[in-house]
Amino acid sequence: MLLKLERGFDKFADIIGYFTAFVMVLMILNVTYDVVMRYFFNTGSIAMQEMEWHLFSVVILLGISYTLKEDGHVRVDIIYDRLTDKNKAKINMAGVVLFILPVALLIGIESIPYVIESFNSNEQSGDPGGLPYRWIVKSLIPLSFFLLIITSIGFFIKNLNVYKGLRPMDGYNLKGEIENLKSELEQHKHHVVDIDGKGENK
Amino acid sequence: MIGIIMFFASLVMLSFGFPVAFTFAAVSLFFGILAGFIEVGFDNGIMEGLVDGLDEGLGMFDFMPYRIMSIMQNTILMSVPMFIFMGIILQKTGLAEKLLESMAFLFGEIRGGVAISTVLVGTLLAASTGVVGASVVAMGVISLPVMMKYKYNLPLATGTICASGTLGQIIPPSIVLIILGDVFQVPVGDLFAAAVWPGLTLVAAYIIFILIVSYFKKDMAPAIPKDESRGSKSKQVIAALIAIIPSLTLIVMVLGSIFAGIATPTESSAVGCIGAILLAILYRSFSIDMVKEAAFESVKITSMVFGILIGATAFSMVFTYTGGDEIVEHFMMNLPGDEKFAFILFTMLAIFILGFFIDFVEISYIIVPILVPIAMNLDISPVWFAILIAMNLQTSFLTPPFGFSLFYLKGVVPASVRTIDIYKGVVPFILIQIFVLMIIVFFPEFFGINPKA
Repeated sequence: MLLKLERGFDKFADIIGYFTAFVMVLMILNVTYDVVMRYFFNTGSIAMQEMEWHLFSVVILLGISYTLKEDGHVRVDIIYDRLTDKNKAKINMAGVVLFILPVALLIGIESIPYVIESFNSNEQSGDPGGLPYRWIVKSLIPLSFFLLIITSIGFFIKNLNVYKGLRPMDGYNLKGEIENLKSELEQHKHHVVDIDGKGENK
Repeated sequence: MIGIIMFFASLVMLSFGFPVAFTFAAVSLFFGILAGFIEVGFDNGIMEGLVDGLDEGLGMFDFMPYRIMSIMQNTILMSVPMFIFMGIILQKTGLAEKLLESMAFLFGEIRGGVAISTVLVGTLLAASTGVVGASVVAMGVISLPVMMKYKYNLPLATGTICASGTLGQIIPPSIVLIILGDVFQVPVGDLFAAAVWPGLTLVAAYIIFILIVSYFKKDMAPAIPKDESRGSKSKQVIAALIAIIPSLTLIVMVLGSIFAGIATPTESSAVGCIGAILLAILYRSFSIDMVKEAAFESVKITSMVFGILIGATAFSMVFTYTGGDEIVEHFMMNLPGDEKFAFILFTMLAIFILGFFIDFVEISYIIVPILVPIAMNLDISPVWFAILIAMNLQTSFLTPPFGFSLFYLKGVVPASVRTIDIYKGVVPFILIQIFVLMIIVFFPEFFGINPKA
């Protein structure tokens, strides 16, 4: 039951991940387009230029939730690394309740009036030709922190499952990464052998 | 005083290992509320004091949405995910393997030659992929076996790999420099340009060190016997050139356009991404999965940085509100000796020590903003100070036992390499870094840096 719930939350965070990764690629294309227009055609649209940071905002704000699920937020792992899975899970559960939830609630709630104010005053870009409806991009702030609340509940459940012994702790980000890099290199094993001066064995 | 206590409380809380971003934000929140209670006091009764104090404390965070909004509009930071994206694409084209393969034997026939080749490859990787972990892993898997086969001294071999792999921190385009440019409010292009000579000096110092050591201790890094099967020297040189030219062209264009002031780092990084993809197509290693992975990875790293930035913003709000910055300033201004150098030496030492425990992103966003106004008061040029900090932060990647590069190398070395070999190996390179750092402190003009603001 709890494992199923965990998978549900993971899926939710993955969807956010896919979305932000897609927007990331859009952002690269957006900036490139603006560069090409500016340097080769000597024109440029203010709206497209503002779109750059709108897309950037999606990446950084919504990405926080996905990164939490992936355990990609930096830790000081001097002690953490040496703990048992059970103790790691305890720290993570306490962290969600004591650290993430209060902060996410505070910023999430505080930024709602900020968005409403923008909506009511029909705020838009100060530059001629800029993007209208500034409240849309501003509403990413409360949205991202409410998404963070949801994904942190998923993170809590995941660690609860580890605590209960229902699943092992995922390898900490760094170790998994080293393994990936290594296996990627080993796919090109012949390079390695070659360089070892045993070319004739190939 | 609350600010100072908060700082140390944060360090204690961090040691539990919960993600840094949230720890900083939450500790700031609690101390903000605490400061609110103290400010209001309980003279009007407990209830009144609690309600007003909470109000006062939370009031410190009123500007949070505005601050977040200004981070969102920060086009400098936009180059961070794109440089990461570019680096990962280049890495996935197998750039590291190609370079190591073609250059490993280029200097092999002189003593210490393979180590020197490794340093040069590290330099090229630093300027192109800039991904420290990946560079260290690639060298650990490819160069280390070669050096071990030819009986290189293990500490020398592993130290060379860690130090070379870490060069990405100082050689542009480096993420540290972009973040410091943001914190110091100086053009990132200026920082990139200022970092070139210090970075290359470090490379030269590494090579000189390897040459000296292998000259005096013949068995540390023996020369590799000539092997005709590898082809003639000129053939090898041509092969090496073919391996580096395409990516070198890309990086020269990206950095060149920034240095020449033609394009902003953000613009160059986007074009660099497209260029990297074109290179991947040229090398026939392009795939949609590659783009997908690079995008996911850059989202993760950028959100990680941004999370810390939010935590740091909350921290600095409370820190300033409670007058912590004034205490630090008062302390720094009353150090013994020449104000300027006392300040620089003290901050360098503090950052060096903190670097053992916390990451460059936290140091850049939590510690550095407190120091920037003091440096301005002392008429210290922001570019100079930023380069000093970047050099210093690079050292934190190498310092045992928590240095980042060490972790990566430990993950891939064969069992016959002991951890202590790696630790021993990096010590001389750390000393070289400190030495070069000192040269930049005392002779900034030598590197074309104006020390005055």
